[in-house]
Amino acid sequence: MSDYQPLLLAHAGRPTPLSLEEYQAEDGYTAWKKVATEMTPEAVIEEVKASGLRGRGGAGFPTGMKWSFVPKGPGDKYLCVNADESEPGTFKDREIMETNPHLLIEGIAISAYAISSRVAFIYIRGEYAVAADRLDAAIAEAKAAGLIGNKIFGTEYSLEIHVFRGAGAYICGEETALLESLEGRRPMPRSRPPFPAVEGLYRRPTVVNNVETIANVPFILRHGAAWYTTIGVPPKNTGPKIFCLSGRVNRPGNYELPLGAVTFRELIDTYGGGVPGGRAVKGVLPAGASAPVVPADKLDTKLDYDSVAAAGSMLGSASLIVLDETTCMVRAAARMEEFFRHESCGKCTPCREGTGWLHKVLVRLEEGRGTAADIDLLLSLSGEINGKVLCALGDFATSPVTATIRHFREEYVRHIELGRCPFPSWN
Amino acid sequence: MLSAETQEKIRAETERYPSRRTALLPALKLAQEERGYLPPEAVAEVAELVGVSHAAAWELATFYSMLRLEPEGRVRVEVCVQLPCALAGAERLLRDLSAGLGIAPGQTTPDGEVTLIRTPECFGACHRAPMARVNEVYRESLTPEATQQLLQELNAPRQQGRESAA
Repeated sequence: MSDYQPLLLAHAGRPTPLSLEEYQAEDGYTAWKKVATEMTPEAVIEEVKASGLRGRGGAGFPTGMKWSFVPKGPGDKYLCVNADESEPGTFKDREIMETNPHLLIEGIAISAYAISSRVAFIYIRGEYAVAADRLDAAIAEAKAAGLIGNKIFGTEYSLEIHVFRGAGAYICGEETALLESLEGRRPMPRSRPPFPAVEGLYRRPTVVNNVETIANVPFILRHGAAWYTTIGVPPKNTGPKIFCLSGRVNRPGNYELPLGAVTFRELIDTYGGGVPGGRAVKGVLPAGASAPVVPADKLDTKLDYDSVAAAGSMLGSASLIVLDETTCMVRAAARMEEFFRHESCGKCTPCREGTGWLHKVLVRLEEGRGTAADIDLLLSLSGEINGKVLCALGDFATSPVTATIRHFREEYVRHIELGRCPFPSWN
Repeated sequence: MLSAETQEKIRAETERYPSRRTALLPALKLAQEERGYLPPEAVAEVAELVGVSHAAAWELATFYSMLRLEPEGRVRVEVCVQLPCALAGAERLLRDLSAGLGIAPGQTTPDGEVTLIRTPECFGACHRAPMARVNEVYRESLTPEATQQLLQELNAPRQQGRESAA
């Protein structure tokens, strides 16, 4: 095991959140004070650019660059923190917010200052009531201590932070749908351009960043970009990453490690304690339901953005769902497609109609009622969705289907030949 | 009519954000908190308090899975059956709850107390699977034993009710 000491999840497992005093005792808010009293917004952006930090929500876009797209000049700008964590297999932001809410708040203060935003929103999924209550309490603490609010540290800068609770909709994790939801409209993705950096919340320049991304920011400003790049694999895979491990593993949980420090196999065996019953891994979904399954012959791939992409998938949110040799890939695909069918917002016809059909055909195949033509039908339906919808979620909806057919086609064929599922039930 | 207290909370929401309309979703949730669900007159009343068309409020009320247009049991038990939970016994959990409550998923107990729901939505508790959301509370790591404990809690007030009626 690595001797790496977690930063983002240093307090994982605590039943109560770190208080303001406890957070300050470990240098909390010192970076924010330095930023607000000694640094220009441009200097903050440069430091974050130099750190190499990439968005932890899934896309992996360079954070400093995203901030630099916000036009300078007067007028309202907004920072929105995406805490709508709803990807199957993802539970990392929840742990950050429940255990160390002040880390997120300090990150928000620094990030909002960098883009000259005076109002920030934390858009948190409605089901995360515990995390939302803890954030509300921590914001009140920070405000009472003069760390946020009006004329912070005697400067001209003021910042207000709102916790906005969603109401059960995966689509709100898509940044433009999130903005629609905040505006009190049906959360359906917008057509781009314009991008949010130019025209976002209330048609004003807006940055949307994931919770884990923002939680990295205080460490970058506290210790400097040069220190940050010693973690991970510079220049393109720097910093810590939380890997959510679930499915068929003995010790599921959040594991924070430097990017590229371990392979799929090492994470599963060394940290996850291997597969129950000593069974073999058949494949791993590296980003919940949204990225192509990585088959067992690629388990020695390093867990960083570029290595996982080279292996034909996506690190995404790094929510690894482990599938063992007894897992039916057709059933797994059907269950994930049921999710996309349920969560499709309905704006784009290919996704709204297509996810329903994909699910229906997958269920038919899994129950042994499918024909060989159904495999081609699945691929053709996927082709009608992928690239023909407004947001990435529509594209993601096809990956459970296309990737399982690509890597495990023989399982589909066996279902058809036997007229039943050859794998044990999930009971 | 919503209570004066709920109306006041909704008014406070409309003044919190840079735009009044941002308060529409929080306002609908406040109305639901009071009524238990969102009957048409509550949706209309919220729309008027926030200052948007009834249609605008309906667009949200009919979209979000946490907003309900029909009355349900006082206790809502939602079982996640998405892949990580399914691989860790969610089907067994759903079956046990269904048998212990005497209702199928999607149904409410005859006394109107408990509604059981099967959902493909993930609640972000995959490391403590299988799990159920009981109203606002996450009940995680629901082993067969922990499931029986949950069932006892769900059934206890109803058994007491029957005993006192008899």
